Amino acid sequence: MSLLDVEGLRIRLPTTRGLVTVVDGVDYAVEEGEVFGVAGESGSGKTMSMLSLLGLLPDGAVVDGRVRFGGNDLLHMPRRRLREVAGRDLAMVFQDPLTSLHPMLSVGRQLTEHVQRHLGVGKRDAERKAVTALEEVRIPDPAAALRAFPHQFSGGMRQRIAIAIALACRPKLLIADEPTTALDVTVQAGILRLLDRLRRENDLSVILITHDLGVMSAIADRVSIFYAGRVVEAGSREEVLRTPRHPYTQALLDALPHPEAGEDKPLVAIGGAPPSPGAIPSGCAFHPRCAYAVATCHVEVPALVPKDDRLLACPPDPFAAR
Amino acid sequence: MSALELRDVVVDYESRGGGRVRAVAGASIAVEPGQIVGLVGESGCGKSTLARAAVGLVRPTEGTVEFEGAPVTPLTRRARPRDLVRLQLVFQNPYSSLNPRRKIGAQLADGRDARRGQGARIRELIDIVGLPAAAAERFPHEFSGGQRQRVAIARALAAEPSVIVLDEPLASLDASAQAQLANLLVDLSRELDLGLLLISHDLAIVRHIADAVSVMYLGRMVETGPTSPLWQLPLHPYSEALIGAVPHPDGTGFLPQALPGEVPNPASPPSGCRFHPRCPYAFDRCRVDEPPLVPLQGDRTAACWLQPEGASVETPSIRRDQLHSGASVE
Repeated sequence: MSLLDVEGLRIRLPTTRGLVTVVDGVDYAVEEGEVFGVAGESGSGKTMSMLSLLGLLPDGAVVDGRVRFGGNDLLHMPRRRLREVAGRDLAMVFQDPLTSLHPMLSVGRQLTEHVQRHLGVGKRDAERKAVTALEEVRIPDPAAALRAFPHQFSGGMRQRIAIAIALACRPKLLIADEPTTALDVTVQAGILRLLDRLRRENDLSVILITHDLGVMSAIADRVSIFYAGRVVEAGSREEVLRTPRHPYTQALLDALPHPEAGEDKPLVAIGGAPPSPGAIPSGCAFHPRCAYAVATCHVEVPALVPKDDRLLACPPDPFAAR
Repeated sequence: MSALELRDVVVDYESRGGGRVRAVAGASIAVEPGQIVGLVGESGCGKSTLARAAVGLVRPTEGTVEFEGAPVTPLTRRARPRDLVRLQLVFQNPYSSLNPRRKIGAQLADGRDARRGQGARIRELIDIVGLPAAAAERFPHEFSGGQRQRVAIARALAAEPSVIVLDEPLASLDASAQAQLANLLVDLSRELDLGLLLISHDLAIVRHIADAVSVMYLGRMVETGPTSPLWQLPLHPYSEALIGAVPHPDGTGFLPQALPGEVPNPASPPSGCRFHPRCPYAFDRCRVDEPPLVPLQGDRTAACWLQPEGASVETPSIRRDQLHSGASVE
């Protein structure tokens, strides 16, 4: 059994024009000790599908489907119990650590409070665990760091602290939403190596949400490509990123500057813009931007089906030959 | 004559408590007409401050800034000299640099007024940056991030500039919007003979569109050169570390190299070479003497004791081995 099993997840959010579907029937599973990458442009439903696991969706959101996590159904669980489970076994790190860390509380207070609450240990023990947590993410002089406040650290250090807090209770699953997007490449490389080490040494599972396929390529074992609230392609990192089969995945890769690409190869931008929720095109949502669309793409919503060693939602399958 | 030239610029900020922080500690950079110059470095290295000095938003403590041969005078309460209108700046966040309560067309017209021009070219500007004609009648909030950045670029173009300084113009955009804008910048530069100074922490993008690159560390240039050779064979250990940290989106599972440590506080820079505490090649001299930026072969420069003036192009690690084996460096 997988650590996390998501089936038919559908999320509708209330707007002034009624309910709008932002995640439309998504399935995936995350195994123990694996890094599961979720990629897609902004507005593709990546973040909302993760917030639903933690019960953090805005009020009035309607969620259908099933999310099994270690024997619990996260979607149909009393709020109190969800907080218990989610607080201890699930943790989330956001893009901007300044907004997730409390500016007026010392790092020590934020770390120990969390540990005391979820592990039920005393203050002394909690402090010892806090120091260990900071050591693990390689914060120099952890004892001094405990007394300091978030603004006294650089962006990279803050993100390390946010990760330390997230990991202090030894969660089974860490959801990292664009954890390195706001950081310099040098610091980003450090965070990626840190996540990779924690996965190997502590058997931590990670869901890595990013729009940066380079970041994904560095540490994800399996990846899922989201478009307009659906998964369009999923499979092993190698399969999906080296030989993409969905035109959208291919287009995302063509748009990226590859550090070792040949001279003057222009970037190929995807025409048009991603659709906004509430105005999703008929049929395959990608068809208005797709160079390979055929007549059926305009009307039939393609199902995500096994094709060779991956899952693909593209019946014309224009890159099947390679 | 360069279109925009900064020579030995030093910028000090007063810090609370009366101290001084040297954000830029003697840096030079030049932009030619039709050339795209990338300025890269980690946050806190002074690249944004240098960009602000380049357009006269901060007054350099020392050094000179010249635009088309005339000094760029820092902004005061008096009107900005009319000729400086041809030197424009585009900020990272187009939402905060556009007026949310005025239509795009009206905001573009402001730029035309500055040139005593007519509003008739507004439609053309909107077309140049690839927005639909109806954009003129819309407000900034009706656009996506990428489109808003196009509006900001159109606003800069309205003044018919010869040089645009862009501070992180592509950050916070999706890959596809990034690619669209990057291509737009290249086209604009080539077609309008525009000089662009592109400040970015995204090395892969800079590598793709810049003709020349300057690498900045803690207020100083550590390496400059034509983009492609610099990328293939960085001469300064810091450039080497920056390039090694860029992830490859190819599915191979290449784990980028981390550079240990952080950019030191510019208020108390390390002795000797500013990079030495983080440098894997540092030796005795680096801790004491600060290396000057010297010319090397192939139109390149570097500020590293491993790269003697006029030397051929060779990696820092080979230079170090030569140094330790006592061989002379040509």
